[in-house]
Amino acid sequence: MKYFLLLTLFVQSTIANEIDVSNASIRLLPGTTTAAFLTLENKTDKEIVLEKVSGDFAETFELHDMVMEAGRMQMRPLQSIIIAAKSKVDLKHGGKHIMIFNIKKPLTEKQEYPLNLHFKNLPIKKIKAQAIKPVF
Amino acid sequence: MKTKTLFLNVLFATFLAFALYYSYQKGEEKRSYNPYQVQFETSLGKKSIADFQGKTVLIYFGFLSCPDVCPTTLQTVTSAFKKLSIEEQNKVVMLFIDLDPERDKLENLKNYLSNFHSNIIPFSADLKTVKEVTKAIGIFFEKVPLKESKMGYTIDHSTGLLLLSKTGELITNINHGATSAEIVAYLKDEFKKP
Ligand SMILES: [Cu+2]
Repeated sequence: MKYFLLLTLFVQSTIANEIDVSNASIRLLPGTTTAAFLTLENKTDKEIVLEKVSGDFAETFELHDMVMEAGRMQMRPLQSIIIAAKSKVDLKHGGKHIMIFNIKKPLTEKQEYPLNLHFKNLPIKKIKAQAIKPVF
Repeated sequence: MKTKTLFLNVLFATFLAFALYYSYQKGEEKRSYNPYQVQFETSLGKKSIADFQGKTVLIYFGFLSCPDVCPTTLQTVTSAFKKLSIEEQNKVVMLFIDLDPERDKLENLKNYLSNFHSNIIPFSADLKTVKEVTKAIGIFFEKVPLKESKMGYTIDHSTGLLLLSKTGELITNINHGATSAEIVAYLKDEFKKP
């Protein structure tokens, strides 16, 4: 029993360590639409696929990309975000982002909001993203 | 033979005259549409861009469900305006021309923009008007359906910031990504002009 418990702990922590999530933030904006940004680091030898994001502070979460072409901004939904083996993907301003629609209550600056990251063939990863006002 | 040539010459001359007159007319028509004089609903009542002559004017074209690029420009311009003296701030406005009138109403625009510098003024008109004005100014925008998104559609658009002198002359298109300090430099250049 003791060994089994240790084993479970071990398995859990390896899953948790397969992907590293950092710099998670939500852009604090007026209105009910915004975007969340974060860095995903794949520590394994196989690609990892982010398929979906969910949360309860807004109605809809989608994966989007922003492409700037000849001074024109184009935003498009993404089916998934692939993090290649042993590499990092940045979701950042002007690029890939988690689009958030219909925020239920106005977000508070500096407060952390839970997000669930749904990866293919991995358990859901729960993270917290801080609502911040970026400075430009 | 001579009369025939003369006749043909007269015919040609008449044709040329008509062609010239027609193209002149068309040109007149084009010249008479002035996008800067088109009336919009704004937070200050009905206004055209030309109504702000006498001030240095920045014009941005955006929409409210834009999560990143539009608010970044709004924030950058807000920072730029805050770097100016009060006297200088009174010499400049930014007009936010909304590209998504189907979703964004003037009230939403006012609420949204109230979070930025008060010299940023919402400009709202129906889709047809917005299309005509942007086309005439040379700003690209397009409504693009998004089947796989709850958004339904998005607006692809030019992201530049137009700078007009206080006499209404188009000075430049400031690229997206310009810092607030760079915008301040552009504005100060304008303020120096007689
Ligand atoms: Cu988006």
